Amino acid sequence: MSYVFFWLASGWHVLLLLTSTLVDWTTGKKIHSSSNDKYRKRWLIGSLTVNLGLLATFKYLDFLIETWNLASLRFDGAPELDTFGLLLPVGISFYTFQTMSYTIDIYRKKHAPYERFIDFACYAAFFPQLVAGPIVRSQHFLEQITKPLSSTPYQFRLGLTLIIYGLAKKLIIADNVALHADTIFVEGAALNNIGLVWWGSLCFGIQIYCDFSAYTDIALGSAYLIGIELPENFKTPYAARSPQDFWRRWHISLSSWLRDYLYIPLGGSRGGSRVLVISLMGTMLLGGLWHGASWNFVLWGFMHGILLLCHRRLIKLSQIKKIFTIAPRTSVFIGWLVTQYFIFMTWLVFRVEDTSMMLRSLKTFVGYDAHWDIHEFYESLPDVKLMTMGLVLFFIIAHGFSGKLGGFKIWLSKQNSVAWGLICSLLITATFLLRPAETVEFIYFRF
Amino acid sequence: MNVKEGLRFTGGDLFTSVSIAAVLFFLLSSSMASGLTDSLMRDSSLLGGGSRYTITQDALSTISEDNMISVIGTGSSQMFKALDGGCVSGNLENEALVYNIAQPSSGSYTNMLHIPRIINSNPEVVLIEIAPNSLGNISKSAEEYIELRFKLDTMNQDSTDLGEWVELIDPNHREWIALNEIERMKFKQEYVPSAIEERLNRLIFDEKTLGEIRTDTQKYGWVPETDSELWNGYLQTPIFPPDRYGFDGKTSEERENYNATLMSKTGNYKPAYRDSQSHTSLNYEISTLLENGIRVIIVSPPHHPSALTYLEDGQWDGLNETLARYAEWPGVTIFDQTWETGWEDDHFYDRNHLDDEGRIEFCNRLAPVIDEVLSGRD
Repeated sequence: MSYVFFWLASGWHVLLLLTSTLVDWTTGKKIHSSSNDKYRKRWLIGSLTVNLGLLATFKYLDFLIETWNLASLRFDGAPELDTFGLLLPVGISFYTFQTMSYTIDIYRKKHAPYERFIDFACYAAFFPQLVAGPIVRSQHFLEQITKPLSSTPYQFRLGLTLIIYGLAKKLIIADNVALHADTIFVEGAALNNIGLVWWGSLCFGIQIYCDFSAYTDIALGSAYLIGIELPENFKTPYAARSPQDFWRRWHISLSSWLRDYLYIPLGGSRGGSRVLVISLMGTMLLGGLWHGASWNFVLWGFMHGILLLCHRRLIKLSQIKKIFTIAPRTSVFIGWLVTQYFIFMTWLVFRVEDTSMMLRSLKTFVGYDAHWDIHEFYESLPDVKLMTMGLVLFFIIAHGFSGKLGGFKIWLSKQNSVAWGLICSLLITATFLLRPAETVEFIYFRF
Repeated sequence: MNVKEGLRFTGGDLFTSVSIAAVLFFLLSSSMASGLTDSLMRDSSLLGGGSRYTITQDALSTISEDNMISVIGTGSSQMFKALDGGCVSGNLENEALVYNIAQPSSGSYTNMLHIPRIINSNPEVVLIEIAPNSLGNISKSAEEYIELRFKLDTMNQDSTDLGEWVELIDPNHREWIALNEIERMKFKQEYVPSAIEERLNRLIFDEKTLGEIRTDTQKYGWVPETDSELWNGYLQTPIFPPDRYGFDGKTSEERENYNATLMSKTGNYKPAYRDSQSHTSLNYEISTLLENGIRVIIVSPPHHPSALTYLEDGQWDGLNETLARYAEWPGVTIFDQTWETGWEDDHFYDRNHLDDEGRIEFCNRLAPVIDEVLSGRD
């Protein structure tokens, strides 16, 4: 069923998914059956080459050619190359990382390969999370797929709760704030009004969170309907009090994948400060590049790497430790404020593709060569202004409380039938009434 | 998430939960969408000058309850600006009320959607406008207007409004027609974010400054609420544009310029003889009304005398032939003012719309025709 779903959505790109599946299925078996380290390593390298080769070809080849062509302008006689115009296969970044983790874990002898090919194929292509995650570990999936698929009434309702909640988050909040972000960052915009740039980054930050976490909720909900439990991907990231804290809460399945398969193998924090810098920056740069074939994403990863390094350095300073001891609450609040300021600043790099506009927006964001004009701010926004501002305010309050109460969707799923029916009907009604005329495609479908 | 917490949750609980959510959603969404948008559509907040487009269903419901002999005028801006229903009612020898539900830019293709409700409102006579500029097929340039009208009209309909007109809708326009409650809610929802924005504006800012146009009862385009005491009067005599917008406000130089450009446009009209989309809609409208015992007066509104000088011989024969054909239908009376004499410059806003003086003249000419039809009723 997952393959049919994928074939319908992406046509012949299903062959790439099939290739990844067959390669890692075979590799897993070969590695597991051998005790010869060289032989095992050779199979692992083969698998990684195929997987990363497909990813590199379809996601990054044209980007590399464009970069080469751009660089060649500076050198006389350097040939200009034609791009291939390859379409990005849906979900390739997600299923590639998923199948790679399966093979690497077998190589590390963390677990044995799946016994049945059908189970592994289902793991590689499980349709609810195939397109935009979460990236599931094979062991987590195997424990569930080997049992007969059926959901209890509670699981079924939990699934419905997550789907309804996800749709509400996407259509009410993400799509409405997207109209503001799109208007502010439209091509050619001056981006020198500090209020507009702050509002734009706030709107985009909320959009990308609500958009991506909504997809995750819908994926988790759909999986619950057939009795499969997928891992959570977000834990109120905008409540993070440090950059490190942010990465424990944001796109958890990717950040933990990068930690386990890139950061730690590169040396992590146990090999001295030079190794730390290399492994952290390497992880964040590649993590940024994973999002898309663009220097914006590399820069985004770089900025997060710098933030993480600065944070590590700062918390070791005795003066900082002293402040946290003297005024813990104030320190935590300031930590949150500073963290979020920089997180939302990095969203500008993620959102504004044009380099000169991006640099302009960054300058304005930090108040350099910027001005503040409330009239211009208000007039520059789309027609529906106050409702969107209300939604932003609601999101900020709800996001804060959600972290404290353990999540609205969990609370909702535990209510009795009448309360659940009433609240869900309000949510569906609000979704139906408040969605803008134009719905925006899920952002992470592009990755 | 700990799914074990719900072990005592049964299939019955699941069914109850989902049923409550589904039923409440249908109840809440349609009533909230209407509650949020309806009054703002009327007061021109959401539709600007197009608020009149939303009155038809309520107008016909009011007419159905008036316990009087009713005459309903339909058509485009030409009929809208020509027909002062209050004046005509006052000039009738019969005790009858004449209503003006004509809509600017409307034609038989958009008006046919109201035929079932017009029949249900039980009028004695319906006035149907046929003008030289409205006999033909729907042009691409008119599609934006058709979409607006179809959506606005059908979102306010119910199942009793459906009729044979559904089959006459161009398949390309079908997506703009709501035929069930879900499609109606969908169309109405498109206005909800703007309606909430408007209400928040009124709540937070000074309503008077923002809502100047919305509260000026004498302003052209303003429409009263259905529970307002002005509603019934408005249905007979809507608020017409002030004279200064027409010829009366123009300098001689402006008038010359107007005649050289816009007046000559009348010469562009080439009404079809038969079988156009307008003819098909007209055939449906007239035949359905007649089948239901309702008399039809076909009104061809007058044009400025100068406008007619731009016509070539036989250019409007399509109009003449169409009117002649319908004149042979039993129950149809023709009130053709296109070629009638006595229409003067003072009667017009522009080349084809009557002003205050023109409305009085039109009223004086139309009333006897209606009387004659009413007197001759079975």
